Amino acid sequence: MKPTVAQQIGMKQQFERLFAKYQRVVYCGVYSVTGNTPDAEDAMQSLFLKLIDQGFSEDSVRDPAGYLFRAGANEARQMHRAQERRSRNHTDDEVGLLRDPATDRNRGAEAMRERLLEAMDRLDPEQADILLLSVERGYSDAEIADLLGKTRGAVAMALHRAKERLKGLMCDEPKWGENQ
Amino acid sequence: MKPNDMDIDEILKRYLPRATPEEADAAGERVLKRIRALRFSHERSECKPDRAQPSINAGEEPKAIWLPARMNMTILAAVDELQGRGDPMRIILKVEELMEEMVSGSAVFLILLMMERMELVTSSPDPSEPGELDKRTFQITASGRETLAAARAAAARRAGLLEDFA
Repeated sequence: MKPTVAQQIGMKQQFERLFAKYQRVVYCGVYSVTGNTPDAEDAMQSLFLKLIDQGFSEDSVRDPAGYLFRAGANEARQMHRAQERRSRNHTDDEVGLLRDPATDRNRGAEAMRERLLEAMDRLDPEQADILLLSVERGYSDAEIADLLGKTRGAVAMALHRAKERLKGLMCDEPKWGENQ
Repeated sequence: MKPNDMDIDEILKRYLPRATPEEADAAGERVLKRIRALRFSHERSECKPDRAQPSINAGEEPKAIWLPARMNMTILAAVDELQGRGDPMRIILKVEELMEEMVSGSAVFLILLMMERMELVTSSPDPSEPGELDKRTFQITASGRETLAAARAAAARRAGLLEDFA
């Protein structure tokens, strides 16, 4: 049944309330994965459209801010992977230049950031979520455990492993195609 | 650098991309515009008209209707404050701001349409989308302004009586 104009207004109002309340949280989640504004905005748009289509209500989850932060990061990761698949036309030289630690040192902070984002992208998604919730949102192990339905000990262990793996990924001479 | 030499907490602190609240707000504004255009504008023409929707050209006498006084007056006050720039969504948000509580957007919209029929407000279409009901901007009429002033005076009198009583 088609909605009436009044119903449409009600839906729009409900959405705008949700958007106003959580747009910063979602944006922080997507931006921490993409590191650039245009991709972050696309991921944010895509997530909110899905929330409208699914009739998402903040009452349906226990920690809406944590849930939406994580959903934003996941959306950005999925979009990033799809884009990566589409644009896999770097020459070997370009890839080497992008991933050479010496070049990274010369390019400074921007290169370090790219390197970190690439390493984060190669983490297991749940490890990446736990790391982002802890580092970016400042959630405690207990809060993350509550959000993900895990024990506090399991979260502490996963966080430790995520950091160790991240260290390894950032120091490794990357093998192009490893994560493809 | 070997993994053991690396302070990963420091790296995360320094290099993990973080958006400032200002950047998030600016991006949010752009994204909201895109979403409004995608989901809440082109679908309007496919919507069923509301049964309570008055015909703007109907030359009948407005029928007496009962409206919750506080809500009614707050909507009029919101239309007045927005000075002709209020579309339904802006009016709803202004009503929420004035009442300091959430209100039903559908109810506000219907009351606005009834007020138009009662000639307390008038509305003008958006020139770019003349058929879109929720894009119309509302303005208070002279009669609406008188009604609002009378309601405010009555409220002030009631407040005075209560003070005397106390």
